[in-house]
Amino acid sequence: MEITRPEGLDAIFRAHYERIARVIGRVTHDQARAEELAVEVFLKWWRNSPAHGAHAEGWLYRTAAREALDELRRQTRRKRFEGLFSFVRESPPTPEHLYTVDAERHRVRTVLGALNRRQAELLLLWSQGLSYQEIAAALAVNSNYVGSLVSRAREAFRKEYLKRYGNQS
Amino acid sequence: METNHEDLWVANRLATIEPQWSPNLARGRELLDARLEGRRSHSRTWLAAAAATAAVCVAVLAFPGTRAIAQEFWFRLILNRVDVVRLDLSKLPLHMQVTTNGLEKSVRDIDEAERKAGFRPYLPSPGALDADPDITVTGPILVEQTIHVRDIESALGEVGASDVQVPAEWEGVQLRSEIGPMVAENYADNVRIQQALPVELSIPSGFELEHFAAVAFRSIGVSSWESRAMAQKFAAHPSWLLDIPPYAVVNIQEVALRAGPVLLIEEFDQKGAVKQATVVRSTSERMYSVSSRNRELSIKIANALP
Repeated sequence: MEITRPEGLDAIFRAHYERIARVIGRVTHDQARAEELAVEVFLKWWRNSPAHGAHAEGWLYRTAAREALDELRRQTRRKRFEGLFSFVRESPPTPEHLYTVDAERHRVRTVLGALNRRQAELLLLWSQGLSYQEIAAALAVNSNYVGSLVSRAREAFRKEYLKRYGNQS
Repeated sequence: METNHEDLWVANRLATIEPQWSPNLARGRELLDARLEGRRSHSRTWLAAAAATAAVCVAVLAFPGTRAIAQEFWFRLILNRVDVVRLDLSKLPLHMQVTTNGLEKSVRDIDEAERKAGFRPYLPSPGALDADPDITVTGPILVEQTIHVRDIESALGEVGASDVQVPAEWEGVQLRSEIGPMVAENYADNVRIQQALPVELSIPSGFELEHFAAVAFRSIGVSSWESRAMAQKFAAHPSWLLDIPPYAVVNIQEVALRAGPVLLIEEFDQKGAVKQATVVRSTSERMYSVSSRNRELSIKIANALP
């Protein structure tokens, strides 16, 4: 059956879906999950009328960053829980497990998950290539301060990474 | 952009998590349409859809308590009572995941429906309806809703409920409900009978559900005193919450049938004529609804069921 998407939702989905999915894709393990979460972001926007209007784009990026970091924390919690039972059975590692433990990506995501949320959001959006104005709109901060906020977030990331892993680059 | 070696180093680290794939817009549209279609099916198969959106809220209301969270242990509760609330529970700021075992499946007859659903569906007594129905079986549906403190705080902020504190220990708590399988009997002239076993709810033991219910209601705009009253009422008498948004033009009343009291819900079109009349009944062993184009017919059919 043909679905008629609400006009506003359809337009904003077409314009921003790919970038929103990529923001989330930075911290999720697979494309399918990132795309599911991206769709959730647009549905939340659609249900939340105060988010419509001139600030819609910023709202989408902020929500995408939060969805991504929430997903990261869920994954971390699940791994911690599974770890409690590791003495019961020694399963062979799954391809996903091999993928995550072996990759630099895993370290970067772990560090992002350990930062405070605002700094992690800043770094996610900054690394996605958003301008300072776009970041300011997304996170509701004064654009004059975004540069120094990003700088502090980078420094926090560097310190946390080195504390955990040393200089492995 | 980078001004020194350290900044470049961080940028290089972050570049490693750049997705190696391109988002698939067509798949995104399919997912979006599926989610939209799920929301719109509310009016057609509202027993299923309302259950999916509302049942977990009942879980929220089911167990008052003050003990600490122990997520590893779960209570299971069977709800066999229905209450209508004039709220849009789909706005609850909970992360919801719905899992089903597939779409509606047609079955040949009531015996096959029984085998697939795990219970024998009621049929109206002979003479109540002219022809045999087309029968479908759906589900079961598993609904998992996860609490994220930031989402609730954000929703509270949007409705101006800045006085409400959200305990940090609620983060990540999951509420689960299992609905169905459901059997639908479809007759001519848009007559439809749907049946399911009572909703099963699983919640973490010791979770402060009455408190959470009050906060959840506040987050969708219910006043402070009303939220507390609703939370207390439902904690005392757990029930399946059937949510009908306040903007929906409906008449809801209790009607006495031979078998006991039922809820009658009449929906109207833009001219004020009855579009659909649905009788909802819940017993200790099943929930069912009967829908048709007018209240007299729905009541007649409901009276012809055991």
